[in-house]
Amino acid sequence: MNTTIKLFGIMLIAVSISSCAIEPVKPWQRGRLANPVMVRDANPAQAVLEQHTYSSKEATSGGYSTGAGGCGCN
Amino acid sequence: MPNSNKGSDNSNAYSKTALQFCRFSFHAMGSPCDIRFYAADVVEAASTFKHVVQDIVELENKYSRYKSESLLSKVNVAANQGASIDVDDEFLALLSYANACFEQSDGLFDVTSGLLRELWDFSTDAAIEIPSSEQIESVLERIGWRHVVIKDHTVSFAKKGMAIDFGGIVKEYAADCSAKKLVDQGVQFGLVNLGGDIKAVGPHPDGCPWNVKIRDPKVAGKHVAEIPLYHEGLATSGDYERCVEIEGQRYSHLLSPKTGWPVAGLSSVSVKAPQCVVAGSAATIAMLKGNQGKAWLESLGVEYHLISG
Amino acid sequence: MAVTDDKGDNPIEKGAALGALMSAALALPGVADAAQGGFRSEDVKLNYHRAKYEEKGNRMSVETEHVTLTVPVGRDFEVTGSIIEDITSGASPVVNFLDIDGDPHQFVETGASIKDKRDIVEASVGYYGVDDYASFKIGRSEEDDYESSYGSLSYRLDINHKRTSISFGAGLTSDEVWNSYNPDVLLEEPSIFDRRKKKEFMVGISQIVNRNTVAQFNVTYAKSEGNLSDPYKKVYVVDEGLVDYRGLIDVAGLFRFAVDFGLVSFLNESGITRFLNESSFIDVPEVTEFLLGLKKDNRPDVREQWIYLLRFSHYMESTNSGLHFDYRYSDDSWGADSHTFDLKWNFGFESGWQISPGLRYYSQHSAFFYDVFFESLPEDEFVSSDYRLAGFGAISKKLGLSKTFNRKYTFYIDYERYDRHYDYELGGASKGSDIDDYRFKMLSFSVDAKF
Repeated sequence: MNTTIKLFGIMLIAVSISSCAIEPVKPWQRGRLANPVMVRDANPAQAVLEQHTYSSKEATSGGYSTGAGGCGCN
Repeated sequence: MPNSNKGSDNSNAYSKTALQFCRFSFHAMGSPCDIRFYAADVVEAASTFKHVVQDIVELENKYSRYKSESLLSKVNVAANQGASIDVDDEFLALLSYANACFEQSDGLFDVTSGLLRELWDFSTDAAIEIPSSEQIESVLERIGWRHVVIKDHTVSFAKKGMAIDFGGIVKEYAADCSAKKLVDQGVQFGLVNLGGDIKAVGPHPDGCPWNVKIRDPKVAGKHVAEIPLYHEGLATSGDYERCVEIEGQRYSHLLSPKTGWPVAGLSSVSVKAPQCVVAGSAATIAMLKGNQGKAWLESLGVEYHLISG
Repeated sequence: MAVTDDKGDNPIEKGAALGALMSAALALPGVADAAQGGFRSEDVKLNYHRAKYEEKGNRMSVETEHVTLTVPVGRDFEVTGSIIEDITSGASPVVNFLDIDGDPHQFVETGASIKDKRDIVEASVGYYGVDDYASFKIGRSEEDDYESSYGSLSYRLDINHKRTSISFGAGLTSDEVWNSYNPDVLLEEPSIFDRRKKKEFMVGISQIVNRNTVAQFNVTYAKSEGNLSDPYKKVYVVDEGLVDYRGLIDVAGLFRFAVDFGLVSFLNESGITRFLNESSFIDVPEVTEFLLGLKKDNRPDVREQWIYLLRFSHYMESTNSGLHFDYRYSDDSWGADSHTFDLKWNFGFESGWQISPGLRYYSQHSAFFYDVFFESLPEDEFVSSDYRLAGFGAISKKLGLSKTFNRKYTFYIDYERYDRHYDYELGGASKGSDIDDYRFKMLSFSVDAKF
């Protein structure tokens, strides 16, 4: 239960921080966001490998998106 | 490679989705045009088409340099009289687009360079009369994007005798507008072609792209390339038939605002880009860059097809 | 036609040329709406990825190959299939023994070098709507001692003129785990077979903050159930042994001696280990528990994690670069809470080059049932000396390099150096030890082709 409260707290903070600073960016102002350097992991296979490696060495895995699954490396 | 050519000849009803293939040909902006798309109802399609053409005619009336009543002509006249005239957001956005073209081409794509056409007449088959360097100088003096002053919603010129010409922008932009108009009216699968400036609305209903063939300028009836389009624009700059030969050197009909001369190097460039207007200006800039055009397109990161001079 | 003359071009502006034209074009009233939307790519894409992982001192090394094929189907769908194969060799620590002074030492059974193969087959379908994207993925992973089947659903909805995206995800992993009982290996447990399940749920929001910045916030809840213990790992519990050997015998030294002088390999290879393991007169695990106090790794069979991810991506025009910052916090019912800071900076250069340095810091608290060794068995009997549940910190330095040719082929090289240290843990050290510290290097090569 405690964690659920914490979760809402964090979400509330995140939303309120972002909502006061957000600029209504027009479609034609998104050229920079579409730049290839704005894709964090251009090579998904490398990202999969990195996350897999970390998850076999660390207690936390995932959190980026769901269903990476299938790591038989405990 | 996706192919399965489903061009205009496939005019039968698309039975799977009960959509009819409709194609309308017309003449606008000085070119033969056609609009093709799939519609559930042919009568409705005709009305859709009518709305699209209305918009095209409106754009032509607004931006034609040949029509004295056009907003563009009025702006040019007023600016030359030292006055300025109010323009709307669309006009300003086109000027801002022209500015982007100017910047990205290092000054080669200049909407004020249309005046050079007074000196070079490519319309006749007769041998080109080469203007004198004095003539060229006097025209070049009246050319320069930096002399166009845009303030609030008004346009004025810092020099007399200038003129803005949206050639290479407006027809391409009209293709994009027409595509949008089609989408707004519920068309999902279609293609707009305004004299070779093309914008796809979406592929054929079965997902196959529109395959646009690029003609071989040297051999009639032969094609040099086939470019598949789904949602993109495609535009071609350069026209083999309008090339000129001066002392054994082939020149295109595009004029450089830097030299006042036609540019040599490439005879035709086709570019595929998300918007037809971007494709069109990229193709024009590549032509203006002559021998450096290919390298520039390469760095731009677009799909292109190029025919050297 | 060869184009060699490049004079007069302004190379700095060129990289951004298309972006500049596009953003000016999108400002045109007749263009904006029609040009929106992340359309599905029309290309067939093939990716081959190969990597080598090596721990310092040749303790463990992994070679992996990964092939992915993505094909557009129909107007809005995309199908992806991928195959991964890993080959792991080396050995991993089994238990921590104590020396005569009572200091712990890892026992790594290098005499029995393992060679494990893992095969993963995965397929997914993605749907690209006008304002949304949905995907479904299933996969299966097989190893000698592990079989895992998983599936996930995810959905993203773009709202607020595509300035905001909301995503939802759900995943289920069902594992069958056993140890590939090898009677030729000392201290191996007889076969066990068990199941575990992991459910994951994710909610995320992504927001365009301004024309240079995108922010993302994800919350993931994961619940694992079943046998979550490691069948290969043992725990040394002093009170459970026959005597407390500290001050009497250097147990750790004896085992190290046995490994270093080939005694363990001799026992294993000569069949003596097998004879002992298969003998009905003697139960090796019982004997080692009675004599040495070796207990099985034993973990709670439920684990819940709340994982929060905050990501910022920021474009910097002066350097044509994108800076990506991630902070991840995990709240773990096992007590292994963690913080991850991950920085990646992509620099775009002319003619398709990209250089991406990266820095990652990870810190975790030890699990409540973890210790390097135990004096006595806790009341709940949950014990583990698995270094992955210890308190520690790790710093990774990364460098990536890629080059795209003709918009059709992209080559990638990635290098990473990972340094795990007991005393790198954020805010002091929880249970753990520097005996588990290690370093690894990873080098990857990858090529993407579009057709």
